[in-house]
Amino acid sequence: MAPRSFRHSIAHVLEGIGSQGLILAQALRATAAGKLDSFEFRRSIVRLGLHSIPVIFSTALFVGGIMVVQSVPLLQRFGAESLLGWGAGFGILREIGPILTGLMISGRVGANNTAELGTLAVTNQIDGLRALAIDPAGYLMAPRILAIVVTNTLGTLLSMAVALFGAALSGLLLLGVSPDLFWNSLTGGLLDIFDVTHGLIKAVVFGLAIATCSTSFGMRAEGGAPGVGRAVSSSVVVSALLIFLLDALVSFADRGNS
Amino acid sequence: MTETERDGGARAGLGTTPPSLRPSLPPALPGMMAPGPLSARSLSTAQTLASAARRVEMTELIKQINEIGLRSLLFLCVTLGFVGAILVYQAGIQALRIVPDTSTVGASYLELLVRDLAASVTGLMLSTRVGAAIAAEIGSMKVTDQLDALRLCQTDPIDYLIAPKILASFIVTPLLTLIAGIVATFTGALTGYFSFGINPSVFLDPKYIDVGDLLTGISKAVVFGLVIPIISSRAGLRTKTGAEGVGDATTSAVVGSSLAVIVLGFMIGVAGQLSFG
Repeated sequence: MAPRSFRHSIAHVLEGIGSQGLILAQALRATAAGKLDSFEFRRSIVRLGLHSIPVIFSTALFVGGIMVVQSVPLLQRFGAESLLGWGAGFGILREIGPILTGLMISGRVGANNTAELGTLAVTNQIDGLRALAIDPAGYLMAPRILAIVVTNTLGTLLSMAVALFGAALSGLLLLGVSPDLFWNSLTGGLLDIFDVTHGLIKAVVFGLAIATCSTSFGMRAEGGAPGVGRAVSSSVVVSALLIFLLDALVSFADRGNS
Repeated sequence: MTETERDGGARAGLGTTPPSLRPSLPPALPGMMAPGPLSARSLSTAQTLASAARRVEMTELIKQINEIGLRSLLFLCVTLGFVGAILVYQAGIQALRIVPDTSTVGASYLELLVRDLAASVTGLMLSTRVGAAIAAEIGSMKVTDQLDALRLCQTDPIDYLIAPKILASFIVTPLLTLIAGIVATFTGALTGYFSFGINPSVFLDPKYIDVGDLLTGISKAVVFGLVIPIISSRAGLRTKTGAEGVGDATTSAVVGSSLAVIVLGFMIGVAGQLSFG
C-alpha cells in the first residue's frame, strides 16, 4: 500500500464501513426472503466451525493457565487463594473468553473466508454466479455470515468452559487450590448469570463484525494472488481492531446488570 | 518491490561473497532431511538465524523497521489503549463488589501490565498485523515465481527477504511493547479517574513491580519478536500455487503465530513464576 493522503484514508475507512453495512443488509434480506442456501450453510458450519474446535480448545486451555499464573502474586498478597475461582471466572466470562475466541476465529475463520471469497472475486467467479442468475447474497454471503456468527457464539461458550478448566487445573498445580474451593468461589454468589450473558452478547457482536468484515474484504479483492493476500491481511487487522473497539462499547453499554 | 530494488539487492548479494561461501543450505545432516513440518521449521530457523547473524542489508532492514514498526504503531496504540480502559473498568467493578476500596487497583494493574499484558497483547496484535503481512508478501512472491527469480540472480531469498524481517521484528517488538504499555497505562489511569475517581497519583504506583516482573515482560517481548516473523515467513515459503494458496498461507501464519504467542507466554509466565515466585 502506497502512502495516502489523509482525505483518501478517511474515504477508505468510510468505504469499508459502508461496504460492511451493505453486505449485512443484503445477507439479511436474502435470509428473510428464504434464499439462504442450506447446503452451503451446512458446508460452512463444518468447514469454518467444526474445524476450529482444536484451535479454540488449545488457546482457551493455555489462556486459563496464563490467567492463574498472572494472578498468583495478587492472590498471595491478600492471602486470597479462596477467591481464585471468582477472579478467573469474571475475567474469562466477561472479557478473555469472548476476546480470545474472537481473535482466533478472525485469524482462522475470517481469514479463510476472505481467502475463499477473494479467490472467487479475482477469478471473476462471482460475476459468473450472477450470470447464472444465482444471487451471491443468498449463495455466498448469508450462509457464511450465519455460520461465522454461530461458530463464534458456540466457540465462545466452549472456550469459557475450557479456560475455566485450564484455570482450575493450573490453580491446583501451581497454588494447590483444590478444585472444590475453585468451584465454590466460582459459583458462590459473586458471579451470576449476567456475567455469562455479558460474554455472550460480546460473542454475537464480534461474530457479526468478523463475518461482515471478512466477507467485505473478500468480495472487494482485486489483483490476482497478491491481491488475495492483501485482502486477507487487511481483513484480519480490521477485524482485530473492530473486536477491541466493540468490546469497549459493549463493556460500557452493558453495565446495568454488573 | 520495484525492479530497481531487486536488481540492487541481487548485485549487492553478488558483490559481497562468492557463491561458494553463501550460506544457502547447511550441510545435509541426517536428522534434518526427515520430511515433515517440524524438521522443515527447524531447518528454516537454523538457516535463517545463521544468515541473519552473518549479514543483513541495511536498506532492506530500515525498510522493514519502518514496515513492521512504524506502520503497526497506530494499530497497537488503539488496541492497547482500549484494552487498558476495559481492563481497569472491569477490575474496578469487581473490586467494588468485594471491598469498597480501589486504592490497589492501579498498582496491581501496573504489575499485570509489566508482567504479561503489554507483551502478550502486543504479541497477539503483531501476529495479526505483521504475521499476515509477511506471509502475504512472501506467499505472493512464491506464487508468482519471484523467489525462483531471486535464486536465479544468485540471491538467497532467506538472506535477502527473510533475515531483515526477523532482525527488524527482533529490534522493534520490545520498543513497540514499551510504547503500547505506556499508552495502556495512560488510558487505564484515565478510566480509573473518570469511572471510579481514583487519583492518578494513587493509580500510578509502581510499588508491586519487581525485577522478576520486568524480566518476565522483557523476555516475552523478545521471544515474541523472534517467533512471529519466523513462523509467518515459513508459512509464506510453504505457499501452494494459486490464488487460494496465498490466502491459506496468511491464515496459517496468523493462527500459528497467535498460538505460539499464547503457548510461549504461558511457558515464560510459569518459568518466571517458578524462578522469581
